[in-house]
Amino acid sequence: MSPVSADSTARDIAAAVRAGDVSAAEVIEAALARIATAQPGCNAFRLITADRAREAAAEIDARRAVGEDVGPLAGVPFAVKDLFDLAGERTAAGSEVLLDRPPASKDAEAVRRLVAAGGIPVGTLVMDEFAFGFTTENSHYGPVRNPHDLERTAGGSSGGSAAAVAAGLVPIALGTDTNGSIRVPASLCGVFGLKPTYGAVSRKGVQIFSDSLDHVGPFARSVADLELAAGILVDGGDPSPFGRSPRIGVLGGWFADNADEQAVRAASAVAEQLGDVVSVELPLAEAAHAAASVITYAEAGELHIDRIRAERDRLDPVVRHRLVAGALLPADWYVRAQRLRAVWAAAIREVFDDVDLLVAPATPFAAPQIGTDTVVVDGRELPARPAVGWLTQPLTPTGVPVGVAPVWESERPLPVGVQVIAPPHRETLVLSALAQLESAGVAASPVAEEFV
Amino acid sequence: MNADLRAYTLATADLLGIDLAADEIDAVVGQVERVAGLVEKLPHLDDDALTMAPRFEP
Repeated sequence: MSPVSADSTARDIAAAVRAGDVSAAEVIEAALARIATAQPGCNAFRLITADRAREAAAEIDARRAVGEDVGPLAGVPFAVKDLFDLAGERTAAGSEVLLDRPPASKDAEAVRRLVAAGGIPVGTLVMDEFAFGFTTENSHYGPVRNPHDLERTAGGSSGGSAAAVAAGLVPIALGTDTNGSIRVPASLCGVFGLKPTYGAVSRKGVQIFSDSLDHVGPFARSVADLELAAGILVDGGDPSPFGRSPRIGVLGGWFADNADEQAVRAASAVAEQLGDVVSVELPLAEAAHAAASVITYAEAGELHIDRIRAERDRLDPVVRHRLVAGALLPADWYVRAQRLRAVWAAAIREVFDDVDLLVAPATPFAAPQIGTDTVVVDGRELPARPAVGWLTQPLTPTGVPVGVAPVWESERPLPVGVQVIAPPHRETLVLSALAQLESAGVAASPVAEEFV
Repeated sequence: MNADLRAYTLATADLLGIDLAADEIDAVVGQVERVAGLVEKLPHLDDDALTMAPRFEP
């Protein structure tokens, strides 16, 4: 595999750069060329930082030439959701109004760590405005298109992040997940994603959406790359492996009732590959989904109240209506949601006394067409945009780490991802399970054919 | 459309200084109604649960 091709992994690239088989400059030029070619169709990037990338590549090549250790991500191009600060650039968070702010004075902490490891940021990625959405149909910057079918949504709100990885534009991208904004686009674009434990990855320099729910995490096309990024980003964590043949709890009830046959089959295939399977019913799952939504509305509305007072005509109308509603909610509703959250989180922790991992579909269905309002699941018509997050939302309030394994079926052109869920701070168990699935061929993340 | 929620929405927006254009009132009230529907799915917790403070750490 050439270290400058679309399907190069971060590990391949870094090894080749460190060995002097290819220069970081060559890697970056190839990535910038792929991005320029893909952008009109895919629309993953909001901003391309070519000058910075070329300067960073030259610096890495110069350091390597004098024998310096250039890091585990040496010369690896990466991109970030447009809510991570990049020094010298304006962070838009999918909006126009935030471009009024001055450029960031320094990189977000997660970016700083990847750069310190030798990674090179090549740009910022299109997202739903302020991260308030699941489909990245952004009215300011246009919709992100799914690389596996350009007529279909990439998911959101980190849609540009998943699409950039699926199209082979970068091997690693960063996103955030509040209600599923890493897991949903990973599922729809067929890439691996990780929502680490709440608080385990720094949010310094990241535009907040819903303070008590926001998580930072990586996307990649290989589990080894996801693990590499997680090792740089995640603080703490318990690295101990499974002590026995793992018991896998397949989430039923809400998670099965709102998933189509493909999604249910994908979850079953994952569970059977990973260990001894038991069924788990969590009666509060629907309430947890409701609680996550209420908390998000309230926290996002409070965060943006000055903007919705002063910038009415510069916000996406749909996002503005959601933010206004959130700002108006009675405190009683928010407190009730947080109380439910506490009980729900305790219930999830209790489940992990009996099982090692939980498994559930990440989305109820594969990527719908851009602009789709409804999707039929098991004879029921569901609202496409909110429903695509129904299976990820209940898990966010618990803060547990969740990985997404993309599962394909030979007769279907688009994948559905499966959530692999572990107890708090057990990212290593998630990554170990994803690696097992990848190794067995149950999960895979090929570069979209049109972009190879 | 729920008349009480509509009245609540208009009054609270006015109190908070959020100017609602005539053509967006229905959409905002619709969003408040959607959240109200979600709140109805939150169970009434027993006394022990009600004493639990919100926890933000897993």
